[in-house]
Amino acid sequence: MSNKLVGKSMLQEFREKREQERIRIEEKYEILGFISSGTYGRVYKAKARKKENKNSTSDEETKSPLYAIKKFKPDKEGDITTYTGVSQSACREISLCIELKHENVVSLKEVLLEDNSIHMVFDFAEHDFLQIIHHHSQVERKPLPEFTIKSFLWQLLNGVSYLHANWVLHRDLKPANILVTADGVVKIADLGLARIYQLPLQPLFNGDKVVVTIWYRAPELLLGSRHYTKAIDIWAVGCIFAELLTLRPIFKGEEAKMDSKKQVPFQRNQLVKIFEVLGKPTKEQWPTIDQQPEYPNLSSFTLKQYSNRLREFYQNTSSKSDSGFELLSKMLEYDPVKRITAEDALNHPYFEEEPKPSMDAFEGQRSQYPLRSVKHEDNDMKVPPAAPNASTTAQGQAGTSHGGVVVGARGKHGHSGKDEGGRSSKRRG
Amino acid sequence: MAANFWASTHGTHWLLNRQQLINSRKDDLKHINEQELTKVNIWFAKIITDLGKNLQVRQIIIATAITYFKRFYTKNSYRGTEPYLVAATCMYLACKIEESPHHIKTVISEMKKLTEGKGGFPYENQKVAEMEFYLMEELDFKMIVFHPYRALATLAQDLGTKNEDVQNAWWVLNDTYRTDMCLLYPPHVIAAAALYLPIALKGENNRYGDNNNNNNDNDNNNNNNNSSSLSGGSNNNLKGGGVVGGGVGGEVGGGAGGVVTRGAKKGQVAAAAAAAAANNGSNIVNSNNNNETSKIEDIREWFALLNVDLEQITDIVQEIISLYELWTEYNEEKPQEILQRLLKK
Ligand SMILES: Nc1ncnc2c1ncn2[C@@H]1O[C@H](COP(=O)(O)OP(=O)(O)O)[C@@H](O)[C@H]1O
Ligand SMILES: [Mg+2]
Repeated sequence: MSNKLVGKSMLQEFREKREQERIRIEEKYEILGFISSGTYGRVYKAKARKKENKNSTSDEETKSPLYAIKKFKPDKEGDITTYTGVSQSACREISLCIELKHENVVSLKEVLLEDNSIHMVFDFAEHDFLQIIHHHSQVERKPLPEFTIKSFLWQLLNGVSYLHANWVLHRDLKPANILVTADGVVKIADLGLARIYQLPLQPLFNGDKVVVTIWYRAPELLLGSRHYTKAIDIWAVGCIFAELLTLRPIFKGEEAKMDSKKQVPFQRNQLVKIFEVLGKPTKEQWPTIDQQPEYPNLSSFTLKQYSNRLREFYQNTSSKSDSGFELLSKMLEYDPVKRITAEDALNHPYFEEEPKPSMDAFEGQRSQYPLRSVKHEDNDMKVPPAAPNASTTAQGQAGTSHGGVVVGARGKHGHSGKDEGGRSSKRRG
Repeated sequence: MAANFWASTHGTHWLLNRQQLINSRKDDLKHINEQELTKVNIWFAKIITDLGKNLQVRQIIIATAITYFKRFYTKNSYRGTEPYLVAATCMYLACKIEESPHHIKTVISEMKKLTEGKGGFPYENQKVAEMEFYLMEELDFKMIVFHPYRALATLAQDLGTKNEDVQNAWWVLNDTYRTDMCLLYPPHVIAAAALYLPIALKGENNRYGDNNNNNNDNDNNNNNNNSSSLSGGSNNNLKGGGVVGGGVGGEVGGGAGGVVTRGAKKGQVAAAAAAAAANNGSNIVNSNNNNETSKIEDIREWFALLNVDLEQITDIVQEIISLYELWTEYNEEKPQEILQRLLKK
C-alpha cells in the first residue's frame, strides 16, 4: 500500500497550507483580560479589532463589539502529554452551540484553532444570575424587583423551551451558567454538558464528571434515576426561580463525594434539604417513586416529620403573587411526569399579571450592577500592550454613560416593553 | 435544529449540488477516472464501516463517520491528504459527537488490525489528535449530522409497512453511504427512496426478501443496540421501528455483493423502480397483487403530502441501482491498485 510512502509529509503539507490560511486570533481580537478559569480552560474577554475602512456615522456603531473567548485546554490524560484530542465537553458545546440560534441562548460567533487549542468565541454578556444575586444579597441587601425576576424567569424559560423543542437537554442549569447582557437579555450558557436526548443516553455518570450541580439536581436523579428528561432542567429552573426570590439557594445541601469504588453515593443531605421545604414525597404525589433505584433508602428518613412548607417559604419572599407561587410549585413538582413543561410555564398566568415580563429585564433601571471583573495577571493568551487599560475602557463603554455596547445593542431590541407579554410567539428576533 | 432539519447546519450548509461535488474532485480526476474514483470512495466507506463494526458501534455512528469523511473530501483531494488517517479520525470524532466515545488508542489499534496487509496504519495518538483539529475545521465545526434511519422508522410506521420491507429499506440505507447521497439529498428523501425501492422491486415480482441472507456474509459482530437509533428518544412515535432495529442489528453495512445478487433482472428492476417512482409506473405494478399496488399508491400519496420531490426519489433510486451494478464488478484488489496510482507522487 502506498500510504507509507506519503506518510508524514502530507500531514505536514496540509498543516502548513492550513496554518497559512488561518487567521490568527490576535489579528482579529484584542484580548482585554481573562474572566474565569476552570478545569476546561479559560474564558477571556475580548474586543474585535476595528476594521480601518469602516466610516460609520454613528458613534455607537464604531464601538467594537465585545466577546468572551473560551479557550479549552488540550485534553490530556493525567500528567502525561499523550494527546487525546478534543474533549467530549468541547465537542458537545461546539456541535450544539453552532446549531442553536435563539435570543435567550448564548450565541457562538466562531470557533478558532490555535496553539493546539479550541477557542470558542461568544458574544460577551456583562452579567450572570450568580453575580446579580450576590450583588443583591451582599451589596444592596434588598431583593430583586419583581419585574426583573419575572423577566429573568420568563426569558430563561423561553431559552429552555427552545432547547427542549430542539431535543437538547442542558443538564447544568444554575445561576453561574445563566448570563445576562448589559441590556437585560438572558443568555443560557455553558452547554458543555448538554445532550441531544434522542441519542441513546448513557447512564448518568458514564464518562461525565458531575451532571447537574447538586443544589439544582432533581429528586429523581437523587433517587438514582439514570434517565435524563426535560423535567430535570425544569426542576433546576424552579430552584433558580426560588433563589432569585430569596437570594439564596433553596436546597443548599452538602454533596456526598464519590467513594473509592466510584459508586455513585446516595445524596441524603440534599434530599433532607428538599424534604424540609417540600415534605417527603408520597406515593400519591409520585406514583412511580417506589420504582426509583434508591427508594429503599427513603425508609430511613423517619426521624423527622417533614411537611410541605413551600407556601410559607414563598410568603417570606418579596413576591405577593399567588400565581407565582403556583408556578413555583409546579416546577418543583416531585413527580417528573407531572412537573410543568417549559412551554406550559411560559403560558402560565403569572406572566399575564402585572408587572409583565420583558425582554429587557433592566428596563428603567440600567447599570446598577457591577461589571464583570476582568483580570490581567497570569494571562497566557498573548496580551497586547494596550491591555492593562482595557478594563477601564470597557467600563467607560458599558457604564453609566449608556454608551457603546449598551446603547448600540439596545437599538436592536429597543422599544421593548412590559407589554411583551407571556407568549413565546410574541418574542422578538 | 435537532427538531428541524431545514434549520440545521446539515440542511443549511451541508447539502451540496452535483456540480460542487464534481468541482471538488477535479484534482483527483487528473490521475484516475471517474469510475475509479467512485470505487475509491466505496473502498473508504467500507473501511470506515468495518472499523465501526470492529469497534462495535451503532450504525448511526458509522453513518456519521462516513459523512464526515465525504464532507472532508469535498474540500480536499485524496492526493493531498492521508485518507486512512482521515478515515480513522472521522470515526474517532463521530463516536464522540454521537455520545459513545472510544479511546483514541482503541480506534488506532482497531485501524491497525484492519489495515494489516493492506498497507498498515502508521499513525499514533498525536497524529490522529492533530488530524481531529483539521477535520473539525474542514467541517466548519458543523458536526451534527442527520440520518435517514429515524425518518425511515417514522415513515414506515405511517405507512404501516411490513417489517420485512422496513428491514430491506434499512439495508438499502446502509448501502447509500457508499455513495455521495448523504452530501446531496435530505435524509428523509433518502429514507423515502429506500423504503420505496424494495416495495417497487417486489412490485416487479422480485422476491427481494428471500435474498436477504446474502447480506449475512459479514461478520455478525455488532448486534449491539442498533435498535436504539430507531426507537431511542422519548418522543417515541416509532412502534414499528424498535422491532426493525433489533432485527437488523447484525446486518450493519451489508457488504458489497450482498444486495447485488438479486440483480438478475437489474435492468427491469431499475426501470420499474424509477418509473413507479416517477409516478407513472402503476401499470408495471398493477400486474401484481392488489396489496402491493395499494402500498405503492399509498406511498406516492404520502410523498405528495410530504412534499417530497419525486424527481429526487427517482434520482436516488437510480443511483442505488447503479451502485449495485458497480458492485458486481468491484473487488477488493482493484480499489487498492487504483488508490496506489492515485496517491503516488
Ligand atoms: N459569553 C460570555 N460572556 C461573559 N462571560 C462569560 C461568557 N461565557 C462564559 N463566561 C464566564 O465564564 C464562566 C465559565 O464559563 P462556562 O461556559 O460556564 O464554563 P464552565 O464549563 O467552566 O462552567 C462563566 O460562569 C462566566 O462567568
Ligand atoms: Mg459554567
